[in-house]
Parts: sequence; C-alpha cells; structure tokens
Amino acid sequence: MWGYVFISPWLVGFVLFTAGPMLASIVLSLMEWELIVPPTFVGLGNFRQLMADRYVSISLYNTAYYTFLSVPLHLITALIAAILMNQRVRFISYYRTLYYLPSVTPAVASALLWSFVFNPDYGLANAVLQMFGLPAQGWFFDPALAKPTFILVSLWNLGSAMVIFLAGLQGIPDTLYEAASIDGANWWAKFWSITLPMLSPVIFFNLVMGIIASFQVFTGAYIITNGGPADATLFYVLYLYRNAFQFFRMGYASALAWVLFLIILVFTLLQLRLARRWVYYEGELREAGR
Amino acid sequence: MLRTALSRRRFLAGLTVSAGMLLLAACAPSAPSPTPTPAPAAEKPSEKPAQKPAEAKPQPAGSKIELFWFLPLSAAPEIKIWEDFVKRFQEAYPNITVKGSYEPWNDYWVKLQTVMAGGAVPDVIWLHYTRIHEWASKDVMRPLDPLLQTDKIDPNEFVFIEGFKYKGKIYGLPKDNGITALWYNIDMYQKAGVPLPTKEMTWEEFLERAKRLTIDDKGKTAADPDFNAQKIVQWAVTMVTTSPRGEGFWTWYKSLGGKLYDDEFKHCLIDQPESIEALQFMADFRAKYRVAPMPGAITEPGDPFRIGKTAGTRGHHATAFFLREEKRTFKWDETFYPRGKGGLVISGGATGFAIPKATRYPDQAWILTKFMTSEEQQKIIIAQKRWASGLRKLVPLQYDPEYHTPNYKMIHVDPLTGVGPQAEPAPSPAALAEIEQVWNSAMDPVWLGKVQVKDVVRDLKAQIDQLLQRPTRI
Amino acid sequence: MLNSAVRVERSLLLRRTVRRVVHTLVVHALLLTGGVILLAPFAWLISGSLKEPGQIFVLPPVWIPNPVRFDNYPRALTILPFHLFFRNTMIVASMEVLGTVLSSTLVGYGFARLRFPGRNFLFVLLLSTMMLPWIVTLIPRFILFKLLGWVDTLLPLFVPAFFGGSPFYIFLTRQFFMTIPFEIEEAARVDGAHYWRIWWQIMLPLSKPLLATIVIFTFIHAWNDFMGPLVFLNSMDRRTVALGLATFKGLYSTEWNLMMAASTVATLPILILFFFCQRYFMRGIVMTGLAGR
Repeated sequence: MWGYVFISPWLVGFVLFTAGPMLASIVLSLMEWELIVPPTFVGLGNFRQLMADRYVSISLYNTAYYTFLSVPLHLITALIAAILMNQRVRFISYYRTLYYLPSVTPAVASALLWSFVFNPDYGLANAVLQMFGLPAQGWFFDPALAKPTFILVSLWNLGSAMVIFLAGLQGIPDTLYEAASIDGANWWAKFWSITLPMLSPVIFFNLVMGIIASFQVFTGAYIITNGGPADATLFYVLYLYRNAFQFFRMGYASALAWVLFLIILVFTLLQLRLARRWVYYEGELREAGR
Repeated sequence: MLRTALSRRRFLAGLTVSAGMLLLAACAPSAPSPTPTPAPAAEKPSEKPAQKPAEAKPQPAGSKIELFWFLPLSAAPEIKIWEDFVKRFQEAYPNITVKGSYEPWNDYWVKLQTVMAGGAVPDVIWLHYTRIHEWASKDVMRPLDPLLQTDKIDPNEFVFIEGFKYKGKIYGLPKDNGITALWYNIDMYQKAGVPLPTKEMTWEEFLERAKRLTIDDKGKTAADPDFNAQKIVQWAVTMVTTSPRGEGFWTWYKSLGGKLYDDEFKHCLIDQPESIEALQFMADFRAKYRVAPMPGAITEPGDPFRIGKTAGTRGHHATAFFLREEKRTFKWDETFYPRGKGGLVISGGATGFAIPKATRYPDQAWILTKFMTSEEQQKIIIAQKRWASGLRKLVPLQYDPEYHTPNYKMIHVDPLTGVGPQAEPAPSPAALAEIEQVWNSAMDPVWLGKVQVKDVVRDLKAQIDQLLQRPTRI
Repeated sequence: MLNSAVRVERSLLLRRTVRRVVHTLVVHALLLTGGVILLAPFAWLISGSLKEPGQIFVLPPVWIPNPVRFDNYPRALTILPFHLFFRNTMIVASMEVLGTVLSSTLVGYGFARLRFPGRNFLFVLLLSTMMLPWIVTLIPRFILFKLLGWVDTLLPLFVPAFFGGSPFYIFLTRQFFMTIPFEIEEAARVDGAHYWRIWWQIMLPLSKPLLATIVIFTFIHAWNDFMGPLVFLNSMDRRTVALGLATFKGLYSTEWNLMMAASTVATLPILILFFFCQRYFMRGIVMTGLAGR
C-alpha cells in the first residue's frame, strides 16, 4: 500500500501531464490533421498508408542499423572509459571533467561542429586522413559511410553513460576485490566475476536506455544531412518530424509514432525478460514463492 | 550517521528555502500572459464589409488592443530594428500594443505551427514566398486584395508580388527582396589568366572558364588531362542548390532550358528533353567536370567563396554585405547567371507579412502590416545594407556606389524597376515540401554522379504529379 | 642468508614499484589520448570564439586567433539580455534539479523496494512513456499548458520535474536502490523505522554517486533544453540561454564567433557544477558498514 504513496508523485504527474497528451496522440493517429486546420477522422487510414510507405521501411532499416551498431559500441567504450576514470591517479577529477565535456555541449552546437570536422572538402577529418596518405572520404555525404559516421560521432558522447557506469563502479565494495586478490585472482578474473555482475544493474539500465534513445535518433541527421544522401540517414523520427512539421501531416506522424512505440516496447519487454538471466541485484525484491 | 543526516537536512532545507524564493521570483513578474482566447480555425471570421479600417470595430475610446506578431528573426541586430519599428508604431497608434516572439528561421516554422495548432493564433506572421501556396491552400490566410483596394494601394508597388499570389489572390506583402546573382573573385580569375565573367556569357563558355579555375594540389586545372579530382584545392564556383525550392535552383535550371511545372501546377515537366538535358548539365557540372564542390558538402559553416576556396558563388545582394563584414581583401564583383537554352533568367524572391484568418483583430493586423511595409520603415531597412526593399520605388535607394560595384544596379535594381528584363519569382506549388522529399531521394544519386538523369526522371515525374494533383482545401 | 632474503625482498619491491609506475603511465597515456580527441572540438570552439568572423572557417585550420578578439565575449553577451537568460535558466535548472532529486528518488524507492499490486505493470508503463517521440506530444502538451495559463512562463519547464521528473531518473534510482542489500533496511525495520525514514536516512545517504549523477544530468538537460523553451516562451525577458544561443543564427548567416563565445560562457556553469559534484564519486563510501559479510 505504501508503494502507491511513494510512487504517487509520478502517478499524479503521469495523469496530469503525460497521459493526456499520449491519449491525444493516439486519437490523432486516427485523424488527418494539417495542424493549422481542424482534424478530420480517417480511421485506420494512416496505418494502412504506413504499411505501403517506402519511406517507412527505409527509415526503419536506417534506425535499426544505427541502433544495433551504436548501442553495443557505445556501452563498451563508456565502460572502458569509466574503468579508466575509476583509477586512483592524480588529476583524475580533471580527466573526468574532460571526458564529460562533450555531453555538456548542446546537441545543436556539436552537430554543427561535426559537420565541419567531417566536411569532405575542407574538414579536419580528411586533412588528418591525408596526412597519413589515406584517401579523403565523403563521410556524411557518402551514402555508404553516412550512418557509420553518425555512429562514430555518437561515441563522442560517451560522457553520460560513462558517468552512470562510474557511479555504479563506485558502489562495488573494495572488500570484494581484496578478497579476490587474496584468493589469487588476476585482473581479468576480477573483472569478469566481480565487476561485471555487480555492475549488471547499471549495464542493464544503459542498455535499455540506449536502445530507447537510439531508436529515436534525430538531431544530428536533422541538422547535418537532412536525411541524405539518398535517404541513407533518413532515420525514423526524422521522417516523423518531416510529416509533422514540414508536410502538415500530424495525424500520420502520430500513427508513425505509435508504431515506433510498439517496436521499442517489444524490445524493452524482451530485455526485461532476459534480464532475469544475467542481471544480479543484491537487494532485489522477489515475488513470494520464488 | 546522525551528523550526516543533520547536515544533509540542513542542506536540503536551505535548498528548499532558496528554491522557494526563486519560485516566487519566477512567478511574480508573470504578468497575465496575453494568450488570445482560442479562435478555432474552423470558425470563419465574419468577413468585414469593405470599410475604413478605423471604423470596422467599434472601439470605445481608450480601449487597448494587443497584437501578437511572430517573426523569424534571430540575429540580434535584426530584432532591435524591428522592435524599434514597434515603438514607432505604438507611438503612431497609441491604442495598439504589439508583443512579439522572435525565433531563428528553422525553428520559427515548428513553433508557428505548434502555436497555431494549439489555438494561439498570432495576428501577423511572416511567410517566405515559397510557402505562400502551401499556407494559402489550406484556407487559413487572409487574402489581402480587398484591403489593398480599400486603401487604394496598388499591389504593383511591391516587388515580386506575383510570388505572393495563390489562385489570383494576394496573401502576403513583401518586406524585402533578394535577386540571385553570380559572384566572383577577381583576383583568382586574374591569377588563372581567365577572362572575367560577362553578362552575356553562356553556360558553355562559363564551363570552359570554370575548368581553368578548378585547381588540384599539384596546380593542374580541370582542363588538364592529368587533373586529380581527388585533391581539389580550389573550385571555380559554389553552386549548392539541389532541390527545386527557391530562386537559386530556378535561375540555374530555367536558364539551361529546364521546365518544372505547367501553368496550373498540375503536371511536372521534368521529363521533357530540355529538362533532362538541363538537369544532366547541372549534375555533370559538379560530379563530372568537378568545377563546383559536391552538393551536401556545403553546410552551414560559411560559403567557401568567402574564405577563398572557390572563385565564385551564387547569392543575393547580402553577399556584398558579408564580404565587407568579414573584411575580405580580394576584389570581387557580380554578374547575371550565364545563359543557356532558356536565355537570360533573373529570379529572386522575398519574405512577406501575412495575416492568418483566425486573428482576433484583422483590421489592426492590417494597420500593422501596412505600417511595417511603408516607406519610412523600408528606408531604415535598406540603410542596413543587409536587406533590400519590398517597395519597388525604394529599390534604387539600395545601390550605394561606395559600397557596391556598378553591376549592382544592373542586377538588383533594374530588374525590379522596369529597366530591361524583369525578375521573376520561382514557381512554388503547395506540395513543395513533399516534392522536395521525393526529389532528393531520386536525385541524390544523380548529383553524386552514380546515376543518369534520364533513368530517374520518369518515376520522379510520376511521383511529383501525384503530389501536385492532390486536392487542396481551396 | 639474511642478505639474500633482503635482496629478494628488495627486488620484489622494485618489481612492484615498476609495475605500479607502468600502470600509472599506461593509464595516463590512455586518458590523455582519449582526452585530446574529446577536447579538440571544444578547443576549436574556444579558439573560434576569439576570432574575427572571417577567420573561423579557413583551411588549414587556424588554432591561435590573430587578432584575438576578446571583445567577442562582452559583445555576444550584451547583444541580447543574456543576464536575463542566465537568470531564467538558473531558476529553471535549480528547480528541476530539486524536483527531480526529491521525487524521482521517492518513486524509485517505491518501485525498488515496496510491494504493491500492479507494480510491474506500472513500471513498464513508466518506461513506455519514454518510447513515444516528443514530436507527437508537443502540441497536446502546449494545449494543456495553454489551458492552465502557463504559456510564456517558466512553469511548464520545471513543474513536471516535481512529479517524478523524467522516467529516466526513476529507472536509474530503481536500479541503484536494488543494488543495496536488504540487511541494512531490515536492521532499520527491526528498529521500527518507517519507510520514510529508510528512504531519507538510509537509501539517500548511501546513494551519493546516484544523487550526484541525477543533479548533473538534470541540470545539463535543463540548461540545454531547447524545444520546451522554444514553444512555451515568447517574451525576451523570459527566455533561456539555449534560446539565446540560437539567436546567433541569423536569417542569412550565422555569427559564428559570437555564438561560440556565448556557448563557451554557457557551458561554464555546467562544468563548474560537474567538477564540484564528481567529488561525490568517492570509492568505498558505500558498504563500509558491512565488514565481515
């Protein structure tokens, strides 16, 4: 019973601020709404159109590509960085601030910076490549490289995941490591048997959040490539945005949003189920009889 | 434990107190915000019979009206100018106050639509001429013809007024103008020993010169057989446009003989042989002859012309402003676009004031619009050098012999004042945004040189036709 | 015999010292390499903020501006009322931090520790609110706040933070609290402590890294938030720093040097906060009372 009391701020807030807009958008998905004129009811028309819309399949593919490549890379890089940040060396606080710096820059500003760095004709990246005798690349403007370039850029933002991993690492008692040392374990054994399991709740968090966020990747593609070249970076939410604010098709955009919602939900539920196998909580509440 | 608990409690208590004070500070100055009572767009505002605006709404003496206008201004100098105008307006019309919201161009559209969809309709907005069809076709904007007629204002006093018409009615009044021209770096031309562009130049002639101005890292030009296209250090010209929005694309395409739409905007004409030829030339210009940087490579960070990486660019009069602002030391000038099968094409556009139908105060909105597009205000705008005039008779004032080259008059003044061939706006159908999407999907590989125009154009035309023929509200 | 023992000991000591030195060197090398890569764009930002407009986008890139335009900073910050923007953003950010820290830890505790019917369903519901792209709830939310009369105030930006804040933090808190063993709580329960006291006096103090994380993240999110302020704020004196930065994107071109100067200044409070907060990432603070487990 007290559980409800504790979660009441969220419940109330959900009812007040979130449920209404979410319900509204479900209703809108059944409408055609040109924004500046009143909506008209079209039933499942939007969903039918969605299934035949080639931009939907293109953007889903692009988004899946991005998500399933960038999330694991991101997690691994952030974890390595967090382990480094956890070392007791001098100036570690300065290093931490340095590594967190990219996450502090507003998304728009960093998108613009990257568009300059990776500019195929006069950007830094190609200058560096050519210094090593390698050929210049098209980066964002080469259909084959555009998505990998975005994935590369996303790694620069490892600050947030890194900080969360760091906080998790801080929670692992030294006593465990000491006991393991006494038993003669080397660093790999320690990592595998102590760090990873103790960190698993946090890894789980970053994994779930990473997937939820990556499925909604938008800002970079909006600012730098506008979905191009040849729709190589047309991510799902970018296509949704276009429909909502450039084509005056908010009803269709709402339908698109709910389809994405279902996809993400399925993946999240899947992870929640699988979590029982590999996530270890010291203080987990188990249901009666388990 | 006790100590930490106490200090934490104190800390949190302190935080709460200061937060409370901040909260008061946040709430206190919130004067009741002037959210207009939602005027649902469905409701057709009673069309006022043509009367003198001052009499249309019975105003008890001393009643104040607050207008809310919404403009895509972001650069602070711009905002200051328009807020100055607001002050003057409020002095001239003491019963009307104007509250403004200013956003950067791209974000402006999102916010405008959000706010209008949410029922908070502004009284006056800006629309770029390429969006007039889009907005007017939804039957949410007020036609301005009856108002112009009543006040005996001749629409032709405004430049590019054709670009603000939808199905014969006027939906916007321009507050500026911009004609696109070919700019070039005289020093680079002289260094390469290439004759300067002339106003009668053809695209073939220009291409030949351009090849000699495109240089690789070993000093070879695009005209040389062993030119290394992977290592270009200088291009002849920056020709960015790839999609059919606006005069940048239109001038180039039409001058090459290309056609976009028929007169009723019902059919797309890109599958005609002249159009295919024009598009292929545009693609080859960048991908094959390599005299211009590849499209997409020119993003926000400044036109490479201005940093001396290309010998030319396209742009309107503000290019001169930026060259001076950035204190560029090279000699520069401008001229018309080269001619092709389509002859000489002079094209430009404008952004204009428009009034949503659902505004609560249509007459005051009109008064505001008239004021802002009147001579006094326009003169101040011209003096900034960054912007040009929306009023035809003030266009000659834009030319400053100390600031501009003599060609300025030929390009930016004469085509708007009846001397020689006149400027035209680019055709912009209502479905332009969606047309751009399918266009880019199909044409991106063409611009990259991977596919020929003729292979994509039939399919693309069919898609565009479908978009053009979609029924609109009006 | 003693001499050889001493010699063995000394060589062991030497080997261990060498290993430690190598370890430190390797760590520093890795940190520095990564750090330079991460720092480079930011360094370019600062460099650009001190340049003339024409000097920013040149190739090869110029790192040291010449002439150095320190006046870009005062110019950038006075061209629009940035002092007001800073004030407004500080208000929003502090309130958001306060609201989120309090309410998300409350709710997170509920999900982590307390049993109640429908808990799993509500948790999935919580997560699902993050799965719907913001674009389609933007207009309904605008209408909601318009009906409340909160448009052109700072309220829509931080009031929701007091109602649980973002599900992100509730989820994060739940994960953290679930790593804290039961024994601590049980000991307190045996002493008759109510859930409130447990939350306030046990869970929170043991979660300093979590709290520091929430504070930093919330602050940054509030500081950089653009869409919310864009849609809800109109008057110039209500705007936030994020909106202020966007104003440098002029209708025809962007005043990059000024925008970079303003961005650099805008980033400073966050960096200071982070530097201050990451002091709380101290090892070993948790669990020290559990020796012998």
